[in-house]
Amino acid sequence: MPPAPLVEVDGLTFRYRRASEPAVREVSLRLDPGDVVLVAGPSGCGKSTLLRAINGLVPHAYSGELTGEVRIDGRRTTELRLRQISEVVGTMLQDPAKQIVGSTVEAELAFGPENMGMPPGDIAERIREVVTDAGIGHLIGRETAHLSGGERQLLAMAGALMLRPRCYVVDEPLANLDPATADRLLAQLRELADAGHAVVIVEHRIEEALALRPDRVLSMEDGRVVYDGPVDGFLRVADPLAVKLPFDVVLERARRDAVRAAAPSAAPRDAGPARLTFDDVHVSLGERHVLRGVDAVLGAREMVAVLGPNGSGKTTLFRTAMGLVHPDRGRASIDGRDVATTPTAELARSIGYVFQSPSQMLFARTVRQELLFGPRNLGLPLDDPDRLAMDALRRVGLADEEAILDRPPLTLSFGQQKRLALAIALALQPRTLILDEPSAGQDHRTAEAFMAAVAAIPGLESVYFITHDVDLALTHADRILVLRDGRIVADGPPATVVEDAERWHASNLHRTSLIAANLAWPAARGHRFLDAPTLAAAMIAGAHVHGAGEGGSSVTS
Amino acid sequence: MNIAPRYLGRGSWLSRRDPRLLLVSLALFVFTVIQVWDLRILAGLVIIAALYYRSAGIPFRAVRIQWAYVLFFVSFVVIVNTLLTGGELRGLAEDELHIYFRLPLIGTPISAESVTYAIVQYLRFLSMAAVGLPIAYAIAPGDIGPAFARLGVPYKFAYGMELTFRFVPSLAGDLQTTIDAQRVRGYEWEKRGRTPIGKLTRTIPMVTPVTINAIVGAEDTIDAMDLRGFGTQPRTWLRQLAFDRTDRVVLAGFVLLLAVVTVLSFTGRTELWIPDLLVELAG
Repeated sequence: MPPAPLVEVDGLTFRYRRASEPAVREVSLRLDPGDVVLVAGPSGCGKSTLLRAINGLVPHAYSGELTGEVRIDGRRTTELRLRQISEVVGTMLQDPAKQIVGSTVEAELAFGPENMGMPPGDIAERIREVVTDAGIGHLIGRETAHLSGGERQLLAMAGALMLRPRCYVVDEPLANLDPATADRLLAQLRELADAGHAVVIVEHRIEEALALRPDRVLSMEDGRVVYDGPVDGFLRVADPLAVKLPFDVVLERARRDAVRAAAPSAAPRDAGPARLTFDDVHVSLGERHVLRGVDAVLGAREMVAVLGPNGSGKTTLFRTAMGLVHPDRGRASIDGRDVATTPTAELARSIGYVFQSPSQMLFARTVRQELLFGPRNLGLPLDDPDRLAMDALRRVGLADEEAILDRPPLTLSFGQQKRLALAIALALQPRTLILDEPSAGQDHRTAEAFMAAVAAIPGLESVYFITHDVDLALTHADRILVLRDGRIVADGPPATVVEDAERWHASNLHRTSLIAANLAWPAARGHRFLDAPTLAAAMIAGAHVHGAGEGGSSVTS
Repeated sequence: MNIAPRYLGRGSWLSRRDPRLLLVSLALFVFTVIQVWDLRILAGLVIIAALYYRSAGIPFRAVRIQWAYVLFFVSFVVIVNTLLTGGELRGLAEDELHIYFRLPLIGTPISAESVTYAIVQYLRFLSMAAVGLPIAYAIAPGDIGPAFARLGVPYKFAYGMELTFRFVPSLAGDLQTTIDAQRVRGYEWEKRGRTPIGKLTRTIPMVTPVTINAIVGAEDTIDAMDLRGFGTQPRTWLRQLAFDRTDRVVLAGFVLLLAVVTVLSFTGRTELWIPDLLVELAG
C-alpha cells in the first residue's frame, strides 16, 4: 500500500459561521514531500481559507460548516489537536508584525518549542541550528520591534523552522518585501522543498513567486479551483490582466490572440512648477536617523514613484511633507510655503494623503459622514453635502454601488475601502495626491485598476506614490526616486534610473522581465514604461510608441 | 506599527538584577509602606524608594509625562480622600483636631491632622510609584513572562503579561498613525471639545479605528500563537533566571524592612504623628 500523502484536501467546502456563502467549494489538493504548490487568484477567492484548512485553524479556531476532509499524514485534521498539526505544518502569516510575539529574536524563536515543552538546553541548541540554516545570525540579540519589515519576515520564517515541520504554508510573504528580500525568502523556501519538505504558497506577485520553481499552480476564483496543473499550463491560461505574468508569456499570449496595439499617444509632459520641495531634510525618529539630507523638487504636474528597501525612509519623507514629522534640519515646503509653519489642515487642501491601510482612518457610521468629515473640519462650503460626497465617489468609481452613501464604510471590500480613502482625500479638492503603497494587499487587477482610476481623476495635477512594486512604479510614473538609507540615490525617468544596474540592485531592487522588455524597446526609452499588455501589443504591431500606456495621459489637467 | 517597549533602564544596576526581584520588591514595599502613618518613618521609606528608583537609571526626561500622570492621579485621590471627605482621621474625634478652617459649603474641617494625613498619603503613593516604575522600564524585554512564571503565576497569565509589554507600545504607535491620518483630513483634536463630554467625543475618530484594528490584529496574533501550540500543555521557558548574591541581599533588605515595620506597627509605633509645626499653625 503506498504511503499516505503528507497533506490531502479532499472535496473541501467551508462556510464561515456568519457568512452566507462558502469561502471555498469542493477544493481538492494533494501534497507529497518535496512538492511546491503556488496558489493564485484574486483577493477574496478563498486562498487564505484553504491555508487555514491545511494548518488546522479551520475548523479548530474558525468555526463554520465544513464538508469534505483535510488529512495530515492520513489523519483527519478534525481529529487532531492544533498542537499535533503544528508539528507537521508550519505557517507563515501575511503580516509578520502580528505573527511575532516574542520581544527578542531569541524569545521569538523559542516560542514554539517552549509551547511543546522542550527542555531549555535543547531549545538553545535548535536556535543555533536554525539561525545558521536561515542565515539570521546578525539578528541575534536584537529586539523584534527594532527589526525592519524584511528582517521580521525572515524571523517569522525561522520561527516556523524551529518546530521542524514537514510542510510549510506561506500566505503572501512578498506583500511587504522589497524585491531582494523577497528573493532571499523564496530561495529559502526552495531549499526546504529540495530537502524534501512540502510548500504551499499563496502569492499575488506571480512572476517573482515563479523563482520558487513551483511544481504546480492551483488557481482559484470565487472559492473554486479553476486550474490545477503545471506552471506552463497555468501561464497559457492565466489572464494577464488578472495576474502579473512574465513578459515573454504575455507577449506569446498576445501573439497567439493576435492582439493589435491601440497606439499609446501620451507624450512626455512638462513637470510644471515646484509643488513639493525638500531642502537638505534630516529627520530622526527616536534614536534612528531616518532621512539624511534629502534634496528634491517634485513638480506640480508629475507622476513620481518612490522606491527603496524596507526602512529606507520613503514614508517618513512624505510624512515630513505633510508636517506630521518635523525635520531636525533642513526645510520642506509646499508651493513655496514652509511646512513647519503651516498647519497640516491647511496643507491638506493642496496635497491629499492616502495612508497605506484605509482602516487606519475609517470611523464614521456611514460613507456619507466619512466623506464630509474632512470638508467640515476645513470649513468648506457644504450647500449640497450629498452632491459633494457623490462627486468624490464618482471620481473613484464608487458612485454606482447600491445605497453607497448610507453604507457603513467597514462593510466595503478592502479594494473599495482603498477607493473610499482616495475619495476622502479628493473631497478636500487637493491638486496633488500622495499614495502610500497603493497596491499593498490588492491583487494585480485591482491594483492596476486603482492606479488607472487615480490617473483618470479629473482636475488632479500630480500624484506621488510609494511602492515596492517596481513594475507598477515604472509603468505609472514619469519619474522615479530611489531612496536608500535615508538618501536619494537615483532620480530620473524610468529608463535612466533602471539603466544604472549597479545602483538599482544595491537598492534591493531587481530587473523584472517587463523592465528588460521596455529597455529593449527603444520607443519606450526616455519616458514612462509601458505595461505588459500594451508593450506586447505594440511590439506585435510594430507601433510607434511615444509614451505612456492607458490612463497615463489624463493626469495633467 | 511595531514599537519597542521602552527599556530605559538598560544597563543600570537595577536592570542587571533578576527580574523577579523587581516584582517581589514592589510587593514587599507596598505591604511595608501601607502600615506606616508616622511621617518620620515614612520619610525613611521615601529615601529608600528614591535610592531604589535612582538605581534603575531611568532618565527623567523620558518619563516626565508618566510622573505627571502619577502626580495628577495621586493628587486627585489624596484631595478627595483626605480633605474633601474629611473622613475618619485614625479614630480622632473632631474636638481633638487642630482646625485651621472649614471648607465652604461642605464644612469639612481642614486641620493639622488632616494635612498630615494628606502628606502621608501623598508620600506613600509616590514611594510606591518609585518602586513600581522600574518594572516597566528596567526589566529587559522578554523577561517579564519568565519572571511571572517563575514566581508561580500560571503560564497563560505570565505570557499575557509578556504580550502586554510587547504590544502596548505598538498600540500607542497605531494611535499616532491614526491621529496623523485624521490630521491630514483637517481634524485637530486638541482644539476640540470644551466640556468633559466634548473632550471625550473628540477622541472618537481616533479611538474607533485603533480599537477595530487592534481587535482584527489580535485575531492574527491569536492564530499565530495557536499555530505554534500555545495553550495546549504546560510550557517551558528558554530564559533561565537565577538569584545572585546581590539579589539575595536586596531581597533580604526588603524582607527585613517589612519585618521591622510590621513589629513597629503591632507595637503601635507607626501611628499618625503630627509635626509640632503644623499644630502651632492652628494657633
